[in-house]
Amino acid sequence: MTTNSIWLTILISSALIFIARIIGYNVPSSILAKERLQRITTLIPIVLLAALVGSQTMVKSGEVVIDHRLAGLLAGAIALRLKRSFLVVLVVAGLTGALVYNFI
Amino acid sequence: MGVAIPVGIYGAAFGAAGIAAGLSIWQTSALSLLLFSGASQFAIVGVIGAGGTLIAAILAGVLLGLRNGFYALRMAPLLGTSGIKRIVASHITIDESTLVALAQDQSDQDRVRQGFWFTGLGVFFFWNLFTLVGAFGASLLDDPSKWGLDSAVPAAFLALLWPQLTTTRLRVIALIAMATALLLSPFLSPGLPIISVVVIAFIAGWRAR
Repeated sequence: MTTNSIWLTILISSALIFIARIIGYNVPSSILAKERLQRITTLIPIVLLAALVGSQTMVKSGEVVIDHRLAGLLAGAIALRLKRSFLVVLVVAGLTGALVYNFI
Repeated sequence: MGVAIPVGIYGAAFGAAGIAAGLSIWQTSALSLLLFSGASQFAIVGVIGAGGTLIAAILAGVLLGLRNGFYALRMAPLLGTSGIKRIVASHITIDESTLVALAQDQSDQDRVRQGFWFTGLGVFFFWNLFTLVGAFGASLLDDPSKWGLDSAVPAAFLALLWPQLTTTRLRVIALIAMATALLLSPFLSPGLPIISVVVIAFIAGWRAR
């Protein structure tokens, strides 16, 4: 890509994402107040984030792989079940992942 | 502010990735300032680095960033912003700010709002700062995945998602969404499997329970 097309890519993508966000904020509240839509929009971030967690943990270049990331996430999940703080969960997950990655 | 730590590491990694993909420091920073959505930014520089076309790079970026629009839909009634404040809120509507806001007791409007603004602005600051650090050749941090530290990021998301999964039904829905995204990953281009689970929210939310 030339410098100009890189700039174009940056500006167009940024504008499109910004438009998506602004549209989200400007859907009339009368529409959002509908019960069905409320149930759906409450679920949307939950399903998206669950999908994101899964993809970040198990997808590599379009393939589903089980590697150190899953080990780290599971360790983090155990820390969560034990009601540990956010930072502890991160450290446990990061360290477990790094240990499995480097030593197994 | 535990969110700031992985954000810092990944911001630096993004800065380095941008330079490695052939972007200038300005271009790398512009993405962090103007687009401000980590996964999209990585996808865009990934496609550029791999020699992809302008359309492919934009498509990958938009597919991964579109979820911010859905977060906006969720945050709008909770934040109740207007004018300039709404524009700023839009720009900092990302995984982290939405999650932290929703992880608060939702009957306490002040805490929800505080969580959103504090996290959104904090992440914006750290993400941009560390993008610069990474871009200025801090190849010291390089790519966190090289050290195997990359499981900290999904764990951070999981930690924030956790308090929202209050019922068995919600946990099952989340697991179905996760499995669906994984099953679709080999067949769809990056970003699409994640976006496609929105359908599950529609199906599950269609009828009252």
